[in-house]
Amino acid sequence: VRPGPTPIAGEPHPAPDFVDLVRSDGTPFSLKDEAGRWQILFFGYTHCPDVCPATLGELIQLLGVRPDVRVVFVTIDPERDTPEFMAEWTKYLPEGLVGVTGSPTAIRRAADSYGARYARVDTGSAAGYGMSHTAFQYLIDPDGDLLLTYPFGTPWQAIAMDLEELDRASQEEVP
Amino acid sequence: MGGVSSFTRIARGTVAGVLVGLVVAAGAAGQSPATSPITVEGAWARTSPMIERAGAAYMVIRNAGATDDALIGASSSASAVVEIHQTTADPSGVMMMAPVGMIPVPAGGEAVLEPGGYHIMLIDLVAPLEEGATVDLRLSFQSGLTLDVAAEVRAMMPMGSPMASPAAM
Repeated sequence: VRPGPTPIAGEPHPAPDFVDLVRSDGTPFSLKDEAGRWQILFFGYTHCPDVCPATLGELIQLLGVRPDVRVVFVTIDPERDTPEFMAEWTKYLPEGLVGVTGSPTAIRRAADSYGARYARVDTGSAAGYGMSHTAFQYLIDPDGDLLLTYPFGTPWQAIAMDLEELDRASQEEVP
Repeated sequence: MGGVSSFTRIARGTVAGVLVGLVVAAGAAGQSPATSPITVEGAWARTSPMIERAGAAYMVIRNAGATDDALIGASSSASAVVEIHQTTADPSGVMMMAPVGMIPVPAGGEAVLEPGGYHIMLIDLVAPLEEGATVDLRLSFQSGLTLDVAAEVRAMMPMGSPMASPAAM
């Protein structure tokens, strides 16, 4: 049995926003741009052939049934994932998937604010250098609060069920 | 399972030596010989984004034989380079991928190549991997056996895989 999501400790608090990160068209990206929607944040890199595509594969399935959700893919490999490269890469992915990049400093700051960790690793593979990284997915609610962290290997159906339940709960709160 | 005496081990080794010779002879053309203890199930490769130069292939390799074996290499017409990789996670959740020399396929057991674990890396793809296409793979084993496998290109993991199974929820 795979581990389920981990609720963020303590009272829900605003998801740390980004400073100086950009979309693939070079325009600034803020989590507030998508306020009012569920957002799922993932730190990865496009040259990652296993962990990231496996995770994105699930999240893309989720977008199929929840096109209102935004999946925010923040690269941790800005050296290769330039805005131009991200633009080409996202061209064939669903609209709900937003590719975000920035300077190495800005990306490190963004990752640190979520406790996401990464490092460049030279493995000797013909594929070039790799990146070791945490592969959690961070669920941000429509109010901009950080709610849950999903581990690697979470099936999209589990996230879809959580969203449904959370939507229902928030509707019941409204008098 | 444990407690195999050294005598048994030696005896097994001798039998294995004979079997390996047979398998190599039968598998010389790169075909899966009828006598091969090694079989592959559910081979698939993930679709690759248009500009991505690398892909990954997954499968389950079973060993019905009495001798441990290992996948030690692979080649394919789909990419210039093929490597065997393993993704590992440390307790804090940091995942990293690195080439490995081999994937053990124990006697009477199996090796599972799946996202987040062992996989075959296709590097410098000749063309993007598109859904519905097939990737040919020639797998080389420590025993000398070679197996030709066709991996179906899919956008998603096939049902029944750990991540696709509702039981994993």
